[in-house]
Amino acid sequence: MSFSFQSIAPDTAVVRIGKALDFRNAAEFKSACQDHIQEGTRNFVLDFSGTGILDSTGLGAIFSLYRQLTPLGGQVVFAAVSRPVQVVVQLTRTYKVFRQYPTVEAAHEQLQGRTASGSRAGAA
Amino acid sequence: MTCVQSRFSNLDTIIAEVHPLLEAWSHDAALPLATEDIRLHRMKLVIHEWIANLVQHADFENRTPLIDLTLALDEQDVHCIIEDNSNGFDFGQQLTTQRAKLADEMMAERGRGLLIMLNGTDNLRYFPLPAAASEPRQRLEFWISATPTPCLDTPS
Repeated sequence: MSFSFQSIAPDTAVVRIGKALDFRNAAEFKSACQDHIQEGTRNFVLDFSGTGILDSTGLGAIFSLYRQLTPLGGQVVFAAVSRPVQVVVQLTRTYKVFRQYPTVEAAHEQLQGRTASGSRAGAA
Repeated sequence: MTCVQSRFSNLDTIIAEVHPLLEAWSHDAALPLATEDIRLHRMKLVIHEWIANLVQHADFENRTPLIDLTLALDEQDVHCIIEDNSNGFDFGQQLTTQRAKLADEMMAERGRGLLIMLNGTDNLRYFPLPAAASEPRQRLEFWISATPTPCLDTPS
């Protein structure tokens, strides 16, 4: 299981989570995100389309990323959230922390707007 | 009521074995839950969390792990039993620890597993079975009702 990163702006990357983010690959996720932060990425759009498994360890890795980026003015947002991931988001009330967008493109537009105006974009 | 069962003994492969099995069960008459049925997703999540817990934390000493998964379904409830031969742990105490940690640090990286399980089920219990033969036996049992859980409502 590996993640696919795509830079869509100088400080923004889309992470295609793939089938699972769980205790088996959470460390790999953190390490890969760390590399991108060091290269200047501050905003991460997590693309959950096609993701069948997000468990507490995977969610913990996302919280770790969030905690690291917040002081840097960065954001972590969710896009194309699949039904299994939505269940986790609801059960943990994580929607209060991570904004959700129907598509990666919608998330990108909002992040661009935020960068341009210097204010927080509206949540989907 | 329909009922399906399977046994697992390899902690390295159990997650990779369980998910396709649940997928197969839910696609045939064994466990007829529609893809859009919220019970299916909650059931998969809770089973995954518990098995992840067993893989990462359970103490089987030098015994070969034996994990038995049983699922039953009627019109209203999914009923799941997972038994294992680990030494078990104090579920209530661990839950208290997790709650305290999250109350202290909402963005904590660890400590949501048991809470997810509790929130994802309508009734859950964990207890040791009477000792039989030479090894311990623990049982996790939970029910998920067709009635929506309030916390799964649309967020306000």
